[in-house]
Amino acid sequence: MKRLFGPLALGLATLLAACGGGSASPASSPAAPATSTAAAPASAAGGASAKPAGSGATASAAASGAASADSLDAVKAEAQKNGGKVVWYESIEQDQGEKVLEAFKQDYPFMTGAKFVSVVSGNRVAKVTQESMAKGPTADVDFGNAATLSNFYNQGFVNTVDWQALGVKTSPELTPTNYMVAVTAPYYVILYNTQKVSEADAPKSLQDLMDPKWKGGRIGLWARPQVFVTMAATWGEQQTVDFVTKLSKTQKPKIYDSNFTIAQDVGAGNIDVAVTTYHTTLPTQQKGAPVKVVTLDPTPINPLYGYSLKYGQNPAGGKLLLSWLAGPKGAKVYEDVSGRGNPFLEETKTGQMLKSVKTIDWPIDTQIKQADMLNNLEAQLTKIQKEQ
Amino acid sequence: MALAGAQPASVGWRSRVSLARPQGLDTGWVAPLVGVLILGLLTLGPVAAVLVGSFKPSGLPATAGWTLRHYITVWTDAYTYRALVQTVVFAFCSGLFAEASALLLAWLIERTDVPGAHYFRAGILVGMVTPPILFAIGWVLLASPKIGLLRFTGFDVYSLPGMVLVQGLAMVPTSFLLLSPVIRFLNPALEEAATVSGANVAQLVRRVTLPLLLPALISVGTLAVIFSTLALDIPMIIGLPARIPLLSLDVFDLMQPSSGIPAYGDVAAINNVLFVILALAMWVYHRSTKEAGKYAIISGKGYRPRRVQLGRWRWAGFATVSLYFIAALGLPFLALLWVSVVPYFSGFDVNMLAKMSPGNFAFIFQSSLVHQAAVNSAIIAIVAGLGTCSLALLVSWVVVRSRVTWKRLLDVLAMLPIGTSAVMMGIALVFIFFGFRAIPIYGTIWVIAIGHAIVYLPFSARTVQAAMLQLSKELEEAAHVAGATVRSTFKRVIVPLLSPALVGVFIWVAFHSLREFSIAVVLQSGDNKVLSTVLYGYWNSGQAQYATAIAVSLMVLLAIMVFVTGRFTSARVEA
Repeated sequence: MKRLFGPLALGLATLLAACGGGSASPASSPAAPATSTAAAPASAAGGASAKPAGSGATASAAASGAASADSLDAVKAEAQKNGGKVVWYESIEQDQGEKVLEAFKQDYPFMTGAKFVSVVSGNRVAKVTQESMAKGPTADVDFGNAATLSNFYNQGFVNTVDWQALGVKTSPELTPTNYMVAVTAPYYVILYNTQKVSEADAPKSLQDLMDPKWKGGRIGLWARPQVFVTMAATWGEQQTVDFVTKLSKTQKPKIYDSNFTIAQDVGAGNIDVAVTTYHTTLPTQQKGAPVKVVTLDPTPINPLYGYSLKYGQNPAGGKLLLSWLAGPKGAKVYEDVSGRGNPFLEETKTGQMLKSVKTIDWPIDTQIKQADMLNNLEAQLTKIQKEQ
Repeated sequence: MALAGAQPASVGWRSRVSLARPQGLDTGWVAPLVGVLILGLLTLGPVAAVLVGSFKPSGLPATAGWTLRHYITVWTDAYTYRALVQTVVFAFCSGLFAEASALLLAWLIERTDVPGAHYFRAGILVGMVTPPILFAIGWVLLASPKIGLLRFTGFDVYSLPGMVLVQGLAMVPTSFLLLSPVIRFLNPALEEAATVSGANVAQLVRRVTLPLLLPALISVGTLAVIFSTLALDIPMIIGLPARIPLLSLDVFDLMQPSSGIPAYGDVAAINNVLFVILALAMWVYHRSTKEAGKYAIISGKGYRPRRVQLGRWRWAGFATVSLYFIAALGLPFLALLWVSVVPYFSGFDVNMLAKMSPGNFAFIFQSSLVHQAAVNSAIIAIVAGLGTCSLALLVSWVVVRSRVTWKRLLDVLAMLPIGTSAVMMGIALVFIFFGFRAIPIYGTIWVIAIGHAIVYLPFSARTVQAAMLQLSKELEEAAHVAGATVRSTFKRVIVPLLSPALVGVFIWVAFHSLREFSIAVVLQSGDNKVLSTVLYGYWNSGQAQYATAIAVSLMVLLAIMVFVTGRFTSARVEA
């Protein structure tokens, strides 16, 4: 036994010693927020009846507390000094991300080392968490939702930024805190196959999906029921749970791991209708598949925020890229390439499209302060979709 | 092109076997210790990270606090048990299906005069390079009740039997590679005796061949069940839409929340219980391969397997083998080819024929992203293959030849990764390699190669070990007496004798590395893109035409390689 224990203990000791470099508990070294008020959500704006882009909202108070070192000129100089590198993680495909960075480099030619890494959402959160826990290097820029970002912020993984000094248009929707800036917002639509469903028969609302004619695997839904979590902002939790339970039990929808796959399957006629995000329908639409979109009114949206990671290799480069992506030019390039626009900027197609409809989302402070409640609701709805 | 059993039979006629376990040359304690240290870091590290994480509130190792909450949450939920039962049913059925199919194919190809045997033997490898997710999509286009080409049959791929069929077909190549050498080198003496005694083919198979194959069948079956238990790709395409509860899908759900941090702790709690179950399965596998070694033929002199003359059933045998190739290669290939040339993802439709175009192939052939990823993938596949073979050789040599009492520890360490899902392994590797800052390989292709070497080590180590058990120690002793060093004994005696097994393992690892996604996607950081992540990136962003064009190109390229090399190796095998 002793003979067995010796090498094992030696191996474990080596392992533990080697892992020591990455064992710092994030709780023990959080990034210091600029001020406690600065880190807090700016307001409850963006709630169940959030105003669309261009509502004239003023810049958040949160934006005012960060360092003045974030002036655009200072950030440019610092980014250049660091070798013009910046690493950006996102879930859009590699070609698309590289196209966006090409346009970015045209505006900032010294950012020669800009790199894009395509990582799907769930893996991205895991990757950023692990890389940040080990104190990097990780990406300089990443996109995420408010709940994820606030979690990262609390763990000290995120830089605060003076958005105003960087030249970013500030508003409670665009810059709700000094560590996140709205860059895009997928929004949900109903997609149907025009060869299988007539325009008159197509569902016009989520409630229409309860019609018995959609029974038996004709509906497609995303495995992550984000759309219903968002709807709970107006429906309330119980009504949402009841709706998803009934929908799953009676209609037996097909569940998919990707919204793009849902759109493809509607185009192929494998399912007849689906609830999916608008931008994921674009490749299928653009290729000429027999599909049509029904805009929901109210429209559930899920804003994604850009943020600068503390353990990136060039935080200044990250801030520069973020300021560009959050501005009209970057937002338009990103939208043209990925189909995902920023509804809070009138200059984008998405901003124009959603101008005339009411949008639904949880208030930003709920997303941050009650992230656990929303996560639990999502987990509950996920289970219902699978089990019923 | 053969795995472990390429050595003269892992089962055989007792009169020609040595039941005594070879003791071999003493390896000293340096090699075992080096092996334990290397494997401890490579396999114990990730597994320990997952184990520790399951008791941490955040689910991640090296964070504050301890808790049992994740185990309580997961294992007090009735859904987990439903998923466990369905997983067991799915894994056993697909494992059995794969094994039965592989056995039939191996017997027809290796032991009968079925026409075109050497082409079939080589062609089976082509199926191995198809990413399982695209294989499943191919079958959706074939057997979806709404758009499937075969929908007239009434078979619905969106069902448990559908998923079993597709998973089973996907595992046939690996099962075949393990079984075919064993069957090829089955000693014919007993079969001849049975035939002389008046046994017909059915009696011969039931009373002689199957009992001889039993250890190999148990080991291959166990492996197939383990692979099915952890499989995610095919369940995601078929099981998820059909809402079939499976633990692998549960893990996927927990790892991919649309908001917040993935539930690492819950995933680790599922993983660790699964690990215990799979460890039991591994023990069965271990026992069966160990027994196979005891029955090894030491000398192949004067030995030539006899092929069964099928007579008028020859073409029926040909049709049977062809049926597998149609179901596992022909039809899915046709479906993928279809998607790669039509403008949008669609079932087979004559109205689309006029819209077909090779433009998607032109795009991927001109894409610098695809070029870079292809080069990276090729390097990773080769390095992972060589690395795994080297580690497997080291483990096998120590376990079989060493006299140190704790040599089995090495065997256990080599087996550890099999119970850890690839996603969790990838996450754990990020943590481990961040720990080793002195070796700056994070973000390079080398870290992915190491990840692949770790996950494919259990299979490789067992395969090489089974082959090593069949080697006589006398040759090594003779080399030693003649003054050869350990290095030259390895170079001139051990490696050449094990080369069929090592080449087989290399091919298996390289092909699986080419299509592996879960680890690569977590470990990629800019310059280390690989073909599988590019392919899945296209698939996940609505560009199915590019994903399928890559898969079709890979399959065609591999088919050409396999048939060119297949002819050569077949000639050697036949000789």
